[in-house]
Amino acid sequence: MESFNNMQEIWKQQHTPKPTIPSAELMATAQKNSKKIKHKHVSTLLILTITVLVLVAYFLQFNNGKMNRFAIGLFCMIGSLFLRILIEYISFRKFQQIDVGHSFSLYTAKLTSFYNIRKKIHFVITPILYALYCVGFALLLPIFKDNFSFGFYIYLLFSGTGFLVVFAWIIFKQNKKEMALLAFLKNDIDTHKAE
Amino acid sequence: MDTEEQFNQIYTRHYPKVYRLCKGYFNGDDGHASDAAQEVFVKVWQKLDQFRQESAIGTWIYTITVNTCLLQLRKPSFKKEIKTEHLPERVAENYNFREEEQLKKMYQCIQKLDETGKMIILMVLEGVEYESIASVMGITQDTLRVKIHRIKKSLSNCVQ
Repeated sequence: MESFNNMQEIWKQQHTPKPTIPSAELMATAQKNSKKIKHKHVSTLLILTITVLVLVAYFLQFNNGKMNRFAIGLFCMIGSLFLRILIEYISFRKFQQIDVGHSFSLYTAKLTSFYNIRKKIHFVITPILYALYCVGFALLLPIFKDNFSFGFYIYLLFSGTGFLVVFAWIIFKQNKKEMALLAFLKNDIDTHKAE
Repeated sequence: MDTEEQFNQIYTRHYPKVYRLCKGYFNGDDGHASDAAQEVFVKVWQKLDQFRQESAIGTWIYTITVNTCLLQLRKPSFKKEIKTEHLPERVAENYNFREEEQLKKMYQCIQKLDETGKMIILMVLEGVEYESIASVMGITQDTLRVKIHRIKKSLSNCVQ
């Protein structure tokens, strides 16, 4: 292993720059990140609470608790978005809870388990929610047509469809990236566990 | 010693090793190595009060480093395929051309290893003790020795 010892010497002698950021700045960044995460949590919870309150208030106040076509359509649309945000929020929290101080094998096992759950979300729950949103939108279209001008109806039709397409594209991109990462974790990292 | 002072000492002492480990992982890319090293120390600062001293502080920092490097793959800006043009250009002044070429070759050969092998050999090159590496990787020392033997052989063959 003489050649390896030689390599080790060369490795240790290579140029290593000094830290470019002072430690005080890193501490400030850490604090800023923590605050950002906290704000994200609070604002997500706020959005979810307001959505539920608005839905319940609308249902009781303006619809007298009756389940007509409009109420069902609205519930389907807002409900699916609500569930989607809730799932993303829970996923985010679960990811944050994976301790980076775990050993590499435990950490990658936890990451793999996390992305396996994400896979189920992407392939089972997301299509259901997406379909629910589409049903809601379809239920509302005739009501829009009867109650709004033709121009505004066309605007709602195209903007609603556009939103569906963009939403599907974003989900697809996120899905593709996470599945690539899952494949990487399973194929490139799991190998040492089997040995 | 207060926490800030303790962190300051940890940062100064461990930065070069963390940086080199990240640089090796990212095929000699200084930008990725620098970003990852900074992220490691942000996490170290955030979790310093949770460090239970079950292992040496160095081992704990290496654990955070290997996990953080792995997580860089999640970032939208990260491209897994790092071009070989990023291989180190600047080496110590007392380097000769042959050593410089060998270092470049080493970076290339390390990239050919699987992720676990890459992490292990980078720590071996840094002179980290086997006990610490086994703890960082979460494997037994016996398994580690077998792996190291295999990786060293493969790396030596590749570099020559």
